[in-house]
Amino acid sequence: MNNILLFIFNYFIVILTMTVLFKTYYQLAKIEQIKNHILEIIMILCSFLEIFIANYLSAIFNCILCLSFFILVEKIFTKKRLSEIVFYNVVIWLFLLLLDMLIMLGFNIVNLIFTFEVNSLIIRPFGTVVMDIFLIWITKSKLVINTIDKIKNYVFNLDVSIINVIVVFIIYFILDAVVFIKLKDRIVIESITFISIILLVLIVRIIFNEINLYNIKKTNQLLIKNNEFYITLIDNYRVFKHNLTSKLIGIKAISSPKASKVINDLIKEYNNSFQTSFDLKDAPSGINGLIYEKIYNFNHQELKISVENKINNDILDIISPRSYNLLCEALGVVLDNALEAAYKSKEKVIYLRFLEEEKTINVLVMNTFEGELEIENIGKLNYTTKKEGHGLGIYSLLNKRKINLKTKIKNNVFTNQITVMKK
Amino acid sequence: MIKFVIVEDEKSVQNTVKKVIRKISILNDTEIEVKYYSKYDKDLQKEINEELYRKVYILDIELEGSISGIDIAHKIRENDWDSEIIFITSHDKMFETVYRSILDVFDFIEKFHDMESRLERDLKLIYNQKFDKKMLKIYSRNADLEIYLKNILYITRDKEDRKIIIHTKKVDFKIVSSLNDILEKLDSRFVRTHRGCIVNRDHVVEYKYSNGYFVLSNGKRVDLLSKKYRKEIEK
Repeated sequence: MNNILLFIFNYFIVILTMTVLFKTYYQLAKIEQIKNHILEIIMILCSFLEIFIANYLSAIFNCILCLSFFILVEKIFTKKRLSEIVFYNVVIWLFLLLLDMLIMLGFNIVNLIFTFEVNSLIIRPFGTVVMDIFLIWITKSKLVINTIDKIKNYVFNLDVSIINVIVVFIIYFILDAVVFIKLKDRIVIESITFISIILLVLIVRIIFNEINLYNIKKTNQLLIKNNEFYITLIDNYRVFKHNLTSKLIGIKAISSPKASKVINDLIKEYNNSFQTSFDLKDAPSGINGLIYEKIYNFNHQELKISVENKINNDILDIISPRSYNLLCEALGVVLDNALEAAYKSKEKVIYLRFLEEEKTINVLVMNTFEGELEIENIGKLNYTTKKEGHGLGIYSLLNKRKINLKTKIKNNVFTNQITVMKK
Repeated sequence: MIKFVIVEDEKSVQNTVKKVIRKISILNDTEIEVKYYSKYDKDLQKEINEELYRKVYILDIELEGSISGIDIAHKIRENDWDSEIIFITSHDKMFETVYRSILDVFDFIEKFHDMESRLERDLKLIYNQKFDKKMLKIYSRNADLEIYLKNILYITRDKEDRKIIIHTKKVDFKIVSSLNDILEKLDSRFVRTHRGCIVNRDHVVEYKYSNGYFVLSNGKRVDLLSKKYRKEIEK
């Protein structure tokens, strides 16, 4: 009876440590502030505890070899992202581990109650068969697949530096291996050495991390300031231009015919230069720069551009920097196409709408167009609605995880909706 | 039956609109229903979602609260492209062209300038058009395409690929399909004029069977007319 209790207790600890391990692992992914680094330390300690127990229970080291082998093979033969392969392999491995534990637990209880040989050649394969059936159920079960998908979404939506996680895991596995090979009598000295090494690594990493974060924050502040400055500059320029033209007209009235010719020329020049028909402050900061830059190339007043912004917060507070980059990339391509097409149409209308939904940010780009349009070719590489067609790849955007592009055509209005996941 | 949905927070404007609607409905002898809202709420959303009746929305752009008339129009156009939208505004009509194109707005009416007669004229026009907003819908992997039937001039077969070209007033759409398939999606105003051509009869000014061409309302001549289909065309 004591044996059973001891056994169950052992398994309980293993499962508990594994849970803590993986929970902290996911929280780790959020590392931003110093207090989260404490989690990292807890994780290392937990893994250490787990190693002690694993020492006389299982050969995790073997698992790791298999796991890395699978990852390597998949990376070579498939085109998946490394992070996805690692994720799926870790999930499968976890399932295997849990199943193994459960089945061994069952067998050992059986062994303790009825005394027959569990590890015999007849009983062992039976365990494997049970495991296989479970695995098949897992791969077929909708519940399991959905849960894994949810976890996947959750994990990938965090801004994990995947290398960070891999490094921690490698340290953990090396630890495991070394402790497993070296025997238990020198374990105390070795563990102290290991812990101190890891703590050293951690401290160095924390410092670097913080320095990095500080730099990023500073750059961001600088960029926002620049953006504001830029907008006031454009406003001032507009006022200046207006004043200048009226002053020139004033001078023209009292000047000689020759001089008035020159002045006429000047007035023409200033009137023809760029004028935005919308307020740049309307667009979310950061993105307004992009829009301005794109529109500036279409240096005339015929284009009717209207921007509506329903996002109240700072856009970088809502979406992650990676999503922001993707959004800018997508918006750039879509805007290029839209401006090109709108310019050639009669109405010359461009309309942008920024919307904040529960889980996403939606950007609507609508434009009028005219001419020939081949539906099948929309989104194909190197295809634009104009005939010469230099490459504007909407296609490259369609396959990205965090961003979604939807195209609709209603009569002569082209609509592109860009959807970006929030943080 | 036609349903009028009015979103307006000023009582005086509401009354004027009411008066015009009553007048028009008596003139046309049709059954009408009028609903009033002062701002966007759940009931209005329900009204927007309901698809039973043809609707005419008369929206004030400047409403109290964060949701403007333009936002409501966006919500309407999420699914419903059959209803007509008329905006009432006291502002200058700066973005009129923009919204006319993208939201298919029927008209912008200024509140303090000749509103009554303008609204009357618009409603008459809407009645005369008989809500002709049928659409040809084609969904493909890359993009969803929707075109008003009234905008389609004619449809021809592409010579090289197995494609057809839908000619509208402004755009020529090239899609993968066959003339027979597309004819099934169209209504009675469309007929075959040739093995490789379908035409919208509303847009044709003249048929020249002896010379094998027809002339469209925009002056364009299309050399795809066959005597074989004469009976069907003149039906």
